[in-house]
Amino acid sequence: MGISSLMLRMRRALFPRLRMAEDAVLDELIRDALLDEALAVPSAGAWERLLSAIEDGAARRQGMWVLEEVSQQRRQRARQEQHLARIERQVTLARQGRADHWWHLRDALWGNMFPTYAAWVNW
Amino acid sequence: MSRSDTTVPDAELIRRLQEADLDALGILFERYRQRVYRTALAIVRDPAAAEDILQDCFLKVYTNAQRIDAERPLAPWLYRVTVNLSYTWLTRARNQRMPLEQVTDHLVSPMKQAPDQLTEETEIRQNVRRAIGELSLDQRVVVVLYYLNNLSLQDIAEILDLPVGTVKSRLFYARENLRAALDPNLGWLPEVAHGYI
Repeated sequence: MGISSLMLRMRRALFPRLRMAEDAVLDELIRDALLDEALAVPSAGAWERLLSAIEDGAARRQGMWVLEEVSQQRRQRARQEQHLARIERQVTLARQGRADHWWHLRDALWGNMFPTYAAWVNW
Repeated sequence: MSRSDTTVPDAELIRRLQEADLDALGILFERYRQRVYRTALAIVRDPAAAEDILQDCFLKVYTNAQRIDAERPLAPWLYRVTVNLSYTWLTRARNQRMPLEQVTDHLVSPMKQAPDQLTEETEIRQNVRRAIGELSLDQRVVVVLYYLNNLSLQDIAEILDLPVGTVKSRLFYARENLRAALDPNLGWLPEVAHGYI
């Protein structure tokens, strides 16, 4: 603590009225320093931005639901395509006489007998 | 009903907002936007961030409308959300691995202003601004709520969910820190030096 600071503290302790005066000055200085903020106003488009954020939020929530559904459809389609490729391979093997085992023809046979077989397998 | 309607009480507007009435939100926004913006600006010292905080604050009003008690005053709730969002913003800014000096510069620097305005600022005023910026965040928040918003210690305690004694203590130490930082200025102020006040 410097000597000038010590003197100030002693002066304040000895003269309470001075301390009160300094407090009042300090209050004024702080209020004055915050004057920029006290007079600041948000930009004119603040309300429109808020509305847009609310609408975007709603759209995003809806969008996520749609995206989820698309993603599920995509997974299901990939599974169906995979199964279709297996049946095609079995039919090709049968035509070429290279189906050594009965299960090589299983899906093709069942598919011919019961048209709903593919749907049931893909469930 | 116009956006500037001042006759409708907050409680009724909140009830309407709970039924997803955007006009009610518009009136509340018009009523409180300046208080929210100014508080955020005084804490974070960044106009763009303060705009974001204003928006986030009213988004919270909209999304949490069902949980707001319409019978209680809205202003303390808004102040609390504003302070919390400001804390979050400052914490994120610090976590962005900014060098410490840069963070301090950001906090203590005057807001973006035109050069002529800057030159008009007195040295003392700049010193006070710098000193406020150097206060701890807890002390700065209390100073902003007390001096900028003219809130009572009791109101601040309610907003910050703290005992009144803690708020009083933070304000006392904030003032002492400011006094210590400004002692030469205070000592040389002519009104004080000559005992006019």
